[in-house]
Amino acid sequence: MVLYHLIDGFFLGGLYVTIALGLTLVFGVMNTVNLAQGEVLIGSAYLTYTLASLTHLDPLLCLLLVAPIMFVIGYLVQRLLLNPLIPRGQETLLVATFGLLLVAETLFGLIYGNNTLSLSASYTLTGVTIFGDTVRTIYVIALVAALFLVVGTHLLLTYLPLGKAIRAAAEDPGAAASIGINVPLVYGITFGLAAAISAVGGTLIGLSFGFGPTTGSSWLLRSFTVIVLGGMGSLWGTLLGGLLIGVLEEVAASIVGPQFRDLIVFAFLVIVLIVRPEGFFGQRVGVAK
Amino acid sequence: MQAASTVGGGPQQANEAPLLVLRHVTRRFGGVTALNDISFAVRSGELLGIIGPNGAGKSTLLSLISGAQRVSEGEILFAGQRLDRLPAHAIARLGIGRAHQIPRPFGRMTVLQNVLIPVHARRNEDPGRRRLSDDAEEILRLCGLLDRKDRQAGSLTLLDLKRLELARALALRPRLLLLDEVAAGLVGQEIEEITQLIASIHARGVTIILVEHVQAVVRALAHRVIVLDWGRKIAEGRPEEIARHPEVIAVYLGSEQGEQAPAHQTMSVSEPAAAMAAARESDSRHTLPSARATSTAAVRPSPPPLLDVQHLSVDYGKLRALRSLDFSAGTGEIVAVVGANGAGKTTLTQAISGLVPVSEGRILFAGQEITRLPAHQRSRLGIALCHEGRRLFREQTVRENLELGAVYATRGATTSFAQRLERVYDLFPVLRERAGSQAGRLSGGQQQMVAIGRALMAEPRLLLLDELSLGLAPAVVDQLFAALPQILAWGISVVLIEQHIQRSLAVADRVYVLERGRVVFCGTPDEVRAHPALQQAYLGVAAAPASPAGSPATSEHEQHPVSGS
Repeated sequence: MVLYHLIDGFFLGGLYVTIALGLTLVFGVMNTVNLAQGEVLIGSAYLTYTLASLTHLDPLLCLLLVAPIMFVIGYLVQRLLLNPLIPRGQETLLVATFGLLLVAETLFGLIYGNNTLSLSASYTLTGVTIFGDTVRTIYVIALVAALFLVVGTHLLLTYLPLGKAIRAAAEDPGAAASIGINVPLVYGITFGLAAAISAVGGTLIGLSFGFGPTTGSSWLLRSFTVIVLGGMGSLWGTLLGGLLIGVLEEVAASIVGPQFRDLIVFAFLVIVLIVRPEGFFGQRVGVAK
Repeated sequence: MQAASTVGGGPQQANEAPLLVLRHVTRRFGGVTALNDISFAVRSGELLGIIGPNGAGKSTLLSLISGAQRVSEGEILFAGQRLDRLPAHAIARLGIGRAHQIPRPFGRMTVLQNVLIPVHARRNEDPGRRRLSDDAEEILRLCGLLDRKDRQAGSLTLLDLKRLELARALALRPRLLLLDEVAAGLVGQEIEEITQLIASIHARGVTIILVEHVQAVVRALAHRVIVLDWGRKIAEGRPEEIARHPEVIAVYLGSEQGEQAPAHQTMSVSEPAAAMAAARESDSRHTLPSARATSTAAVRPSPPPLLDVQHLSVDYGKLRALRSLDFSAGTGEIVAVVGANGAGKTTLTQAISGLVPVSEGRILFAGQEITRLPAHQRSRLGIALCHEGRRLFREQTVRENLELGAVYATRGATTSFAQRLERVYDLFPVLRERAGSQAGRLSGGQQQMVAIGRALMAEPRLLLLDELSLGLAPAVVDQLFAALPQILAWGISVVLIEQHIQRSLAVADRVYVLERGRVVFCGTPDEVRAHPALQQAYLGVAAAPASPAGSPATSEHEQHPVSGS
């Protein structure tokens, strides 16, 4: 029985990785917690929902269009709104992203109403048998997507010139600027990338659970727990943190009851913050590893 | 000034037990020893000055006393009681107040409210029925802020903010007051006013420890001065003794031993008579310390300079770091910038490379105005900055750091990437061996080589070297200086900031002496050596004649450093 819960949690953890990765990237590079991360996820789910109902295409196929759209939105938000606020300090940025959260929630409500929506596809209600345990197909897809995204982001940051510029700007924006790196542009691209990655997470949320205009915040909290556990801003930490939270949540829920899922996760977060505030796998700053 | 005589005149209570005692105090941060085995005592009623270059450990020392940081070893006693185990608020209530270098008042509150808060918080007094606001007003009267008590604190000038910072520290009615560079950022008359204020606070019986870069303040006020360097106490004595102390002069101006400058060029700075004679001679040529006037004389290169900085002012909030500064660097020149801490050297390099915004003035590079250009575009025009503290991309390899230097900054380069890489490897062969190592794992000297190499990979026309040798071993420093001729040979001009003054003068074509954001002198190295402006800028005293404390020199030199004759 416990083995089944371990397996369930492991795959659920994959989903958590995909939703937290955008937060990791933004924090690692810009040292800012994007409080609107939940809305980026839910907004992507809404976009996929619209596109899927217009074209009747598979939601995951819609990502081919939704991810680039989210990239552009993320890029523009960073360049036009957040970049000009950077000289005013971290608090200003936090408040600005909180403002984005409120605006986005309101917009979602106005456009889509307050009902809970969900995305459907042939694989949303099916399962796959792994070691005798039946795991939701969508979770398997999520874990595969998580591995692809983490490895892909790692390769981008390590080997592409753009990635090296991102790492340089993350480590020391002043030094980066003085060797000719256009730091505001790099920040814009990073934010765009984070939004595009979150489009995957958001669509997977839509396929696995329901979503409404105000469900973003709970996903923000879950993402935050993952990246604190993994060491703020660390890619591999996010991968391990996500999987660990998934397993912990499933196993503990099976023992004390599923209604305590959130309590378990956030109590664990508090303990981590007290015992090991730098997280378990962290490289302290930078996506640099 | 009379401030010195007012406070110095009181009887020294020699028999009384000291108010504050530090015994073998050591503070480590990881592997770095910020303070090493510091012992001294402060008598009740004394005014002790603590000076020393950047990184000497002065602020750390104050933090240990005030409880903001913990000692690693040793003990601190205040009126016989162990302090080093108490939390900061308990120490404050025992009667130790601290005024910070950068005032942080509650900007939205009035001046009076700002002082009332600590008055209310005070618990180290017997509860008399005296009205607290009377008390606060009296403190404001002492600090010269009474007529501004209803102003919003955020609207005060820098000088008044500093007064308010002192008033807030006083509101806790301290027996010992720790002043952390309260004169930083002030100029001229303002410095005298803050000096007088400190003197009148001291006259009320408050024991004061004064950490200060502005030497005029220390000389005017302190009974006794302790000099720190790299966490060690290197000298202790009366201010005028300290100004003549060979090791202190060596710390600030560099000394012959350990600096391989050619012997004939190294005029001994510790020979005041020679300096004075030379100063008198040179004064006939430089009657005014105006940089423009001097630099337009024979020393300025005749073709339009590669870099031309005109009337440049830079502000950090209310603190003006550079004041209408003129500066130029010609093609093929090494221009040295010298001056004490806080003189504005780093700010100058950052303004030139676009990392801090300019408030007033213009910066021209190769005839093009770049005053408002973002940093990355300036780097593409050919301005390379080698940052103080190196600021490498520590996670990336040496080779990746060098690549990053080249990828984005190269403007129509005349050499290929491979050629430039080869050039850097030839300049610093050790980098070829360590190409695959993480930059953060290298030794300090090797990191500095990577930093210079990274800047050179952009094929710049102007290289700004901010603190070339800070914290490095002499042998490494030799290697770095040996690279300079080669860098010049590639047609790159160099602006050099270097703490070893003698070394800096030995290689420079021209030298600018900065003091509190202004150019106070500009000339060839020989002219600078002969001129009192240099010692003035570092030691707050020209050529250290054997004059008693509080001589006219301390008040005169404020804006006119040339008082040698």
